Amino acid sequence: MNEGRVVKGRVVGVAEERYRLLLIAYPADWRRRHGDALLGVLLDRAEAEQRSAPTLREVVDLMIRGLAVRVSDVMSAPLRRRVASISTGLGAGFALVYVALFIAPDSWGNRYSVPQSGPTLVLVAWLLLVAVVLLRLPVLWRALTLAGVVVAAVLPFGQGVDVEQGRFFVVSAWVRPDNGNAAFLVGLAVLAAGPIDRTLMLRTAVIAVVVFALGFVLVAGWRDPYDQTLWAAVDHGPGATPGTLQTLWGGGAGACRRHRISRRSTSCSGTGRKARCFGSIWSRSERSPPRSWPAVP
Amino acid sequence: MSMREPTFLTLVALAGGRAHGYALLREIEVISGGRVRLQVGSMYAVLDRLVGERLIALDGEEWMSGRLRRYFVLTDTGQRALKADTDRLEANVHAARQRLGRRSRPVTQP
Repeated sequence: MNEGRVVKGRVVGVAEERYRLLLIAYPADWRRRHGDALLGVLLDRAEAEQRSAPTLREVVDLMIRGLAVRVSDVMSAPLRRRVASISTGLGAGFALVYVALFIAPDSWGNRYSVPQSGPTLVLVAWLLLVAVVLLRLPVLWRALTLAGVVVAAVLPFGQGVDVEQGRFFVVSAWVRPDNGNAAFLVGLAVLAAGPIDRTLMLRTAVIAVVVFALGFVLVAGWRDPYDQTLWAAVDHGPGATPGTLQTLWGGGAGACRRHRISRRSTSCSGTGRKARCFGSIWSRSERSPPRSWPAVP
Repeated sequence: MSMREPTFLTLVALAGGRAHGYALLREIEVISGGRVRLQVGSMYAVLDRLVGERLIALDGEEWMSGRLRRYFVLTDTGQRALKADTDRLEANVHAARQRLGRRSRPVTQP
């Protein structure tokens, strides 16, 4: 713990250097106000446990918390919770329908085989994330969310080209999503990295399954997934569905928020309990804190 | 709306007097019998929120061995909120004990 180098006339230990590097996850302004205090606690604990390196749990925790602070700069805590719940629900609905397409029997007119490639891996991972949320395993959920953001972000960059087939692959037998869908997945994964309201997530997933299923059947038809049409979620085909749904939801939620709909209010659209804005039900404890910490009066 | 456990335990820890971040972490572990071991980033998120809600407040800072220690204290609002949640939990525990007591009594044969 004592070895280190001199920075600005002060000996900086190895542990401090490592922890300072992790604090980059937080915005610069936040680091200026709280960085030293947070670092002090991290170093106190590391010293008590005779460590000079952060643990994996600390790394994941700081990454997620830093990301959350960055997101909260542009999005309030209640809104982030709602967006994370809806995004996870949307992803789960999309994944469920997609996976269902592959396991549907031939007698239903299904002509897909179960793929060992990109779409299934990504979408099954999404279902795993939902299971972790439902089973209340926060550490695993954070790790999966972080991993999901990273994987989704590198998807578009890892492609190779199979000239013979004329298709793009990250590795052999990996079908990459098209750019529109990659952007959709990255966006969804980033938005999903927040506190989740399980009820809202499940409601969204149920509605998403219905909407996506209808989208696939009525709009896209039973297409070959390897032509990337099924992978496309934004640009065309059924892709219009999640985008439209998200826009409608976001607009509705924003309207509800402006009208300060509370848990006990009748509705946000005059249709009673069910239209309670799907999560504009916030407790006092969920409101965003101010950006500075006032001292005791 | 009931408090989440980390929030509740943080307020309980501060009910014993002002404390800095690391002392709070240890106190929460002790109070929960080692069951709740908060990560530092998570605890700071909780503190950030509680300060924003005026349930706790900043109560000075000092540098100790090259490390900044930031002290927190429970506010009157925080004390009231903690008492309300404690009362609620107490009522639940009381009801649970009553019913468990009834269950554990031997069933009389007709």
